[in-house]
Amino acid sequence: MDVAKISEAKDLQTRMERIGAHSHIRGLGLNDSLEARASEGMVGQSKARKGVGIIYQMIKEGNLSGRGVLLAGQPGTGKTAIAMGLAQTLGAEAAFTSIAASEIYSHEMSKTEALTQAIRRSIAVRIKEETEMIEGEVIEIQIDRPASGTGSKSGKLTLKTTDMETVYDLGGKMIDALTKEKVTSGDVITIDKATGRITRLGRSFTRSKDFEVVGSNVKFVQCPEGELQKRKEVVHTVNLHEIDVINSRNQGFMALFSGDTGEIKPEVREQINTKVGEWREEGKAEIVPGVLFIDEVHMLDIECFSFLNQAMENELAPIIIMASNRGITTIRGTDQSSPHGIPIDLLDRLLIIPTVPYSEDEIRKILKIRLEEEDVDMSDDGLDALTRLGVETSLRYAIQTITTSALVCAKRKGSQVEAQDIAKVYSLFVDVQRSTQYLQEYNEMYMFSEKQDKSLFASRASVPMSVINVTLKLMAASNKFQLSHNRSYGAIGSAFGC
Amino acid sequence: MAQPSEAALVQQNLMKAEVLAEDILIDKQQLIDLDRRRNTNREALRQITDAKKRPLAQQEKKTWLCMRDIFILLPTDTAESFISKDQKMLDEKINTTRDELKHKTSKLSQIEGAPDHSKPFFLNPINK
Repeated sequence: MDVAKISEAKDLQTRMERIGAHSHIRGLGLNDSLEARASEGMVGQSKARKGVGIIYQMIKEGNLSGRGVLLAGQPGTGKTAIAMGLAQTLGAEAAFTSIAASEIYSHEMSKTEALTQAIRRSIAVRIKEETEMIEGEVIEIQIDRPASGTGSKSGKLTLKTTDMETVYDLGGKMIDALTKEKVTSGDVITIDKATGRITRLGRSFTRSKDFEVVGSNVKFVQCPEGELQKRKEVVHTVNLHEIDVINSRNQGFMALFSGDTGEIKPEVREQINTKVGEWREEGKAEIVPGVLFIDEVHMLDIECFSFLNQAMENELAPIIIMASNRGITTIRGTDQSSPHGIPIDLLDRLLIIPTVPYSEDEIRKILKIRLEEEDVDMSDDGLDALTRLGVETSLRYAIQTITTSALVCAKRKGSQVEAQDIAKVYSLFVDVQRSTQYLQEYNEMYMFSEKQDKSLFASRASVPMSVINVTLKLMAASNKFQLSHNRSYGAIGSAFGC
Repeated sequence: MAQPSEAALVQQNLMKAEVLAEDILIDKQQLIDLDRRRNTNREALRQITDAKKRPLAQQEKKTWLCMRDIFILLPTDTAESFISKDQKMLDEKINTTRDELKHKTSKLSQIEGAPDHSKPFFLNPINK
């Protein structure tokens, strides 16, 4: 018992230490009438969140399946965050599977097989098991062995709960099972009525003072309440993929843990679909359609898209949410270009939810949430500078700056992260725009450099340079922190110098 | 106008919940009582079958049956059929009480506005 507790505590610790990019998201942040508020870690994107909220209602009602949703928007506009929020809001209600589109390319498995597995992982079946069992504390076991030494044994077992007590006559097999389980008086046991299987739950608390020396694995439990013969109902929620794996190979369910499922024959799936259908007819099973989230969906190729097209029409299809940050681009595996890199026919079946870039105010709020999540104390000046950074470069760059600037702050033994720390980090780590600009300027000094199509980068780099200067000036003004250089790379030299 | 009717509605709801809760507690106690009787019946049946295994000379033709506070002397076979009939009735009664209990608890959580997790429990069992 103690051992379990320690490992649990450890588990909690490691979980708290790790902070992921979306660990501050706790839900969609919608109220009952689906109005978006700044809560549960979500900021802005109110329209997109409302749209996903409607999808959530669809999922909860459970009778809609086979719908597709596309979250489309520029990088860093919270597509994955919204999908994560949906997963959190759904909680245990429905299965949520998240894959990156690149995951499906493998030597061992065909693309469609990987997709099928992901789809079937997102559909769960709820079933109920019912067993009659006798549950009680053993008061006495009496076993009579025949004097000759051979022949059948007989015996009596006295069981009690807090409400009643009774005596059972025991046959030879039950006596063997009891001795095998080493059941003694004071143990709390259950006996399955149908199979006769005996399980020792532990020792009764009232007997805890019987001996001063007990083994470490002795578990003490309360004497059961109520009737002796109980009906136990257990509800399992298993996804179709698990059922597939259990039924597909000789090694059975162990493949579930090793992950070595291989390809599953379509016949097996067919059979399982029929069986599940039968159960549903008989009122034995309930289908819980879940959500399959495919991130970076433009990485799928044309074959996958046409497969998805067909798969979504299946009766047992989950709601498929895709996310893409591409504009009009070529569909993988073809020369054709199409919006979001998705063929028009599939696009036509999807509900498209756009995400828009965050406003300055929203960026500020998000950064504030991240500060809390990463447990970093920052001054208002610092947050101003960081927000500007988020606006001028990118939100991701600003978020990455949080941890690094906290470290810089700790280095100078400061208690609060100031604008000067951020300026220092800004000089140490370049963002995409500065890096691009530098490469353009010194392209010929690098190996294998080719003459670049200037127009490709010019539009990206020319604007930010002025912006950078503004940002630096702002930081310098706010904290009298002098940065005496024109080009950002100069700062790296000076930083290493000191 | 809306105020009193709302208050009455709340009161009505509370009353319903109270009645239902009381009902559930009674049912639970009844299950215990029924199971207790089922177990004593089972013990009695066992005694009778054991007695029948004895050599004929030691067997008694009649059996004392204790019903609440009266003892009745009955032919053994009649007593046995009495008890097994009672046993069958008890089994049925316990099962129906359990099913009703499930419905009642789900209804109670509905009245109280608590999340109802009982829905999957109304499925038919897969192993029967």
